Amino acid sequence: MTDLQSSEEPLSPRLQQFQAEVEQLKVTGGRANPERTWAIIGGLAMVAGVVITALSWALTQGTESTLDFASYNAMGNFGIALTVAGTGLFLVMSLRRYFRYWLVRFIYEMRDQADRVVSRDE
Amino acid sequence: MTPLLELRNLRAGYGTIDVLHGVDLVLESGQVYALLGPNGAGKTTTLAVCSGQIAPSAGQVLVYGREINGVTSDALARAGVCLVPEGRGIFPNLSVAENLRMYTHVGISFSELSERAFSQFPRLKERRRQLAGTLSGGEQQMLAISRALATRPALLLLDELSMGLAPIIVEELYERVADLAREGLSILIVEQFAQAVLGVSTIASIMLHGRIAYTGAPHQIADDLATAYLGGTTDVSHA
Repeated sequence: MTDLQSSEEPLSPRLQQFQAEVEQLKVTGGRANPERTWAIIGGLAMVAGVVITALSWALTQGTESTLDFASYNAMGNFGIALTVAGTGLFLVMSLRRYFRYWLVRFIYEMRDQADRVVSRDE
Repeated sequence: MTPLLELRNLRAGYGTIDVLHGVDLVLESGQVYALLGPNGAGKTTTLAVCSGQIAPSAGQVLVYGREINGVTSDALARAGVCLVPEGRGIFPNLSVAENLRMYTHVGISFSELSERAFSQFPRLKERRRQLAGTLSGGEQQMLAISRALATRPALLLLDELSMGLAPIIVEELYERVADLAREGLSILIVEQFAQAVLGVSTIASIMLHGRIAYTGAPHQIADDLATAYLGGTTDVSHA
């Protein structure tokens, strides 16, 4: 059985180098599944865009002021832009999730097949 | 002293499904840590997180006290965290020598790498021209370990070393692992079959349903194994 290193024992040169390299690593704080978060944000933006557009259309119905009309028009355009951007984000992130899963599945099956061929030849 | 590797309340999984539900683990420098547990307990996922292949959904992975969540697996491998995966991960259609040559990218010469590999596993020297896929399971595992050691790892992660191997080969492989540990290498070993690994480990844990259920000295864990595998309580800790 291996003896434990005592807690006072200094690190070996290799471990000191390892510690220094770990200190220099670029940490992104990456979280699992970022696509899911972005897909949810895209979906929410899509719904919010539709609501803003519908609201601006409803508001234009009751106004006779050109200035108010211009404001509602800008709000409507913003709503449409938000809907388009949200839809795009939602689609891209959903596809990324799907293709990532597909790629992992593909690699797994390739590896499984290679193992089967190797075991058959043994 | 700050532990070499520490996992704090780690949660991780695949897609939307979490496999690890709050794993806490501490590996000190020079320790051989055996992580045991039945199929589906989350052992391999734990190694995947430690090696940077899977980003945690919550919790922290600390190396010498520094949080490394989100660091890529290649950056970690270059620094010195090396994983020998389940199924060995060798190139079956390349020869033994060619498999070793694939690891010269880490900055080690082929002659030095092969010398080191062949001195540790002389059997590989006899088979150096043979296709790796036609080696026996034990020889493939030896090749995988030799390749891993080429990177001069500071932390070696071994996944199911004994998988599909005869007990005598497993014993031989673990003797090599014990040699590495004596040289001061820190090792985290994931195993389903406890007897093989408990002899060389300094600390062991049993993992059940994505959590560490028992932690303690190997002989204590050996006593608790049957209880744990057969569905005993999960709140026992000897740590």
